Amino acid sequence: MAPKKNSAKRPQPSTPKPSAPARIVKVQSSDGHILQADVRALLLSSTLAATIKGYDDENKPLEKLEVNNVVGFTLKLVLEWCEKHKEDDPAIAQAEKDKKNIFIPSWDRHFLTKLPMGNLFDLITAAYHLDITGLINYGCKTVANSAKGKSTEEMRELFGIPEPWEQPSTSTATWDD
Amino acid sequence: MWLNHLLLVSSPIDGHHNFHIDGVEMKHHPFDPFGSQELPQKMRNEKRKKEIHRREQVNRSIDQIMPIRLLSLPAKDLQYCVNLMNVGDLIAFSLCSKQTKNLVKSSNLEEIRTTARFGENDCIEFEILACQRRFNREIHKQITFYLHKNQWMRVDRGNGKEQWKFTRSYCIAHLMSILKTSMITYLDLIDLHQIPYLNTVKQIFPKFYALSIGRDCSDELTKMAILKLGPIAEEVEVNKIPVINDISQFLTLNLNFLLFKDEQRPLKLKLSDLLILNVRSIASVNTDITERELNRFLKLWMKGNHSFYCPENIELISNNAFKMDQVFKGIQYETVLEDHSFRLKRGDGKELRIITAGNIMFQFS
Repeated sequence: MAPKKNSAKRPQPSTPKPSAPARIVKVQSSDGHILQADVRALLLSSTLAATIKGYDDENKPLEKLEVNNVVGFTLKLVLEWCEKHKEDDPAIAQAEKDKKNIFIPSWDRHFLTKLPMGNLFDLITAAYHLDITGLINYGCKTVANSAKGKSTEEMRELFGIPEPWEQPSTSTATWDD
Repeated sequence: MWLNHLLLVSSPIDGHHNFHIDGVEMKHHPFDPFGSQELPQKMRNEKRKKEIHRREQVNRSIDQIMPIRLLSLPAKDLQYCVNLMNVGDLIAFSLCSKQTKNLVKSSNLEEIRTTARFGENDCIEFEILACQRRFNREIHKQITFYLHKNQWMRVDRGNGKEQWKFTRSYCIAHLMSILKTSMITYLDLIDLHQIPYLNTVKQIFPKFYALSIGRDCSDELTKMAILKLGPIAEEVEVNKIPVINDISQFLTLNLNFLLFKDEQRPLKLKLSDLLILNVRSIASVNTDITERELNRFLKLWMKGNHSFYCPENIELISNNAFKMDQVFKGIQYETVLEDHSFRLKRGDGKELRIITAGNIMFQFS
């Protein structure tokens, strides 16, 4: 039987890669915290992957990576997430990006929903700076899920949205404004 | 409760008692009428200071927990978060602020259908069926807004009615704005009797695709609604035919579709009515027209070479089935065996297909 034409485009489920010896590097946050991480986990971040590749190309010893726009607490969360997903195929995250219904695996759901909303926003921002598609997908979906069934007042409180200056009840807004 | 914190310090000779309440030193004389007033004032000031201090601490702790707000997320991620919300949540979110409204407008929210139902007591039921990207009947359900004048709106997003503190006019303007449309799909007049109220209807929804006038509306209102609101719509559905002498004023409206759906009161038609029709497609479920009138209409159509006739479809249903031999009397026609219809051909090449099955349908081409 001939293979289906579009089978190559479909994201394949992640297959465990042959286990290579872990290469640990130090990562420094913007507030000076130094954490340790497996390079395979760091490769989930396109930004860090490019930096690591630069070091490798020049045959420089990679001792410490500096992440200037993420604080220590958030960086620890990012690294925890990356460590869990270091075996994942990045193509899956890329394919999920365009989907409306993103399925959040149970570990990620637990990891993200236990965070206070502020930390979750920090994590998404860090994922944005470090360009970690999977974490952005799951983080944004968690934010969208947290809004489920909430009224306007509840959303304002949850998301820290300030009250609008003009009172809607007395507004004369037009359809085109 | 504050008496628990009261500590009597001294009882001086001048009759004033010094005591502390929550750390505030107070003077009180049992026979001094002003002394008793000093107590609540000082207490209030102290309580207010403590309350301000407590709130500051709470705010500080909230800031520590939530150093950034949702709207401070990178623009791309913020829009992505918004795009992942469902329709009901998107609408609630859009009402949070101007920025959230703009975010929702930039999302992939698409209108499928909007329906406004006007009932008794100036009540509007406004239904929205919208989707993101592709419509899925299983996922996308309609959201109903209950809008009364001078009352907060209520909304049903599928989990019972909720009250949102927005007024009717604001809600409608806001919803039309986020759906990026100025026209609603259906305007249903369910149970109206006051003719001046039609101006209010027109003011609230100046553009709509289809108008439906319910059975419970008064005759006079039905007539006025057809004449006043009909020209705005593309399609009109009349569920009760008003008792009027001249129906022709309804038939000259420039509409795509006109449906008379009154099963009790028949639509009385004459040859002249069929000739002045300006509606592209007309249907009547209960029609009173003689076979002789239909026969004359067909003969006139056959003779009218190169003359423009607006209707493309005329479907007339009668309780008494039409006698086709009388309808076709003196007219040359072909029988189409495939669908048992009849075909009339005019000198200029135009054709008229007539389908009969209890009813009669003219299809002009």
